[in-house]
Amino acid sequence: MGASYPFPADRWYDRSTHMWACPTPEGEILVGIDLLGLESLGDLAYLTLPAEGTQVSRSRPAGSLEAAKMTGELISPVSGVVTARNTGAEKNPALVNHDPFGQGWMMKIRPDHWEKESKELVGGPDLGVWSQQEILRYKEQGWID
Amino acid sequence: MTLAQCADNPAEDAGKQSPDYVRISAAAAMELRLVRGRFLRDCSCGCINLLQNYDVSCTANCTYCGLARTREGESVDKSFIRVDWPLYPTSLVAEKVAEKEARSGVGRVCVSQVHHPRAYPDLIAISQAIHQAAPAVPLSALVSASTLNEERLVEVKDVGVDIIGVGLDAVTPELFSNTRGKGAKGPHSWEYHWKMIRAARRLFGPMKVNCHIMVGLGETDRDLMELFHNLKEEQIAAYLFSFNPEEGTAMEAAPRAPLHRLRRVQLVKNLVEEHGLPREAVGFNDAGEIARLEAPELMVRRAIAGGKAFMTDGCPDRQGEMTCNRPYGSYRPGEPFRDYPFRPEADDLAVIGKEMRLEDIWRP
Repeated sequence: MGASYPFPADRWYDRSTHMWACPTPEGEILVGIDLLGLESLGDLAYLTLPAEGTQVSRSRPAGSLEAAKMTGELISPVSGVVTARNTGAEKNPALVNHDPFGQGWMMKIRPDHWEKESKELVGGPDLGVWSQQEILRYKEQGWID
Repeated sequence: MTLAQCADNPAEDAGKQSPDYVRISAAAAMELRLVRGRFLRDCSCGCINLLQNYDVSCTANCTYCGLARTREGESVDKSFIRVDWPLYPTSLVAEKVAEKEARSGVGRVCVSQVHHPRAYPDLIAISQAIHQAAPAVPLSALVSASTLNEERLVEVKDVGVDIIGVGLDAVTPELFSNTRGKGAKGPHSWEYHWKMIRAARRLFGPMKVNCHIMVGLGETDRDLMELFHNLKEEQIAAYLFSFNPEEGTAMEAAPRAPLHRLRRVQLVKNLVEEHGLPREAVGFNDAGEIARLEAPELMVRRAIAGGKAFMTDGCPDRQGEMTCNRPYGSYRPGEPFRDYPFRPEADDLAVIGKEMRLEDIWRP
């Protein structure tokens, strides 16, 4: 507790769900959850991810997240087809808790409308201000110290 | 420290034993902001539940318990009532309790014993540490009756504990023996548990002693009803728990009580305790299941609408309101509620009504 909340600048973030989307060199999008998103749930205990080949839509449920005392839907930050899911994280959600921006990625998506949908996410020069506002909002809500 | 970090580093926690260290329920750790997380439906955790910790875990062997001696795994890795209990220095927990008490109040703290040679002196030491840090916070002790005697109960009261909980769990002598006593190669005795329950009742007073009762260990509804009436007559509180099998225990493959059964038991318990339902108002089939409820419509409707019947049974705060609500303690937050850690709302009551299937046993 009392930790810092990094927002790596190589990816984009959904304002409401705190899911991140990170483009890969192959043109796909890795998806995961950021630290504030985890704070609002608690350490994940169960994770349900969509199967490869599933069509997912931006801002629509694609799976479920369950912590010790909270549940939530995994809301996809982008639309497209799931090309991979992190079965390691599904078996051991501690990967997400320990390394949400690395080994704790959740799924990989071949995007349908990345150019358009990335503009609805937060990234680049807007990231610093938005992330500070979010940290402040979480503190005001009493979700973090 | 996070829950996951705690569970992933059992070696790091070796040797960290009570009374210097104590385990704390996941919900209480969240409430004290020792770990991150929020509660589904924004409820809170009113009671800080603590558990003694030893390298050998618990030396009893209850067939359903995650702490059982013969359950495989490191002590600190073992869950208790399916909940992770991260380990912290007792002094830090006492400090956090005092901070929370100053910030927004703490409903109650409960110190739970395991069965261990040090369980009694360490119950005293941990209770003293909490009481010194936060003297206004009410204290409960959830005891292992087998570690106590009447003199020890007096000393427990003297250190500031005002409520005693006894984990009876199994509700008949035979079931108790098979799950906790000789039949389970365990140390517990039905007779001695009742001796301590009644000694505590004399010492602590009416409704200041509670028996934990588990639904789903193999008892019948008839067994449960009999005990509810007997406890009411002795002014001892009955706290219901819903059995939820833990992996690696002797009862890992045993099924949970069906939800309709639990709901009916919760309702009839409430009718007995708060509405004076007489023994003869409940009829049973050959299997001992509730088959008939003869109760006035107004009584039943009021009991259901009040919602209390379906809430977690637990110790009260300073104002007499239930505070030990153990959010999502006996089921996952993604599963249907078993006991509600808050008063059920209208939508919840509609769900409860469907789950209970009351029309099969009661006609208004």
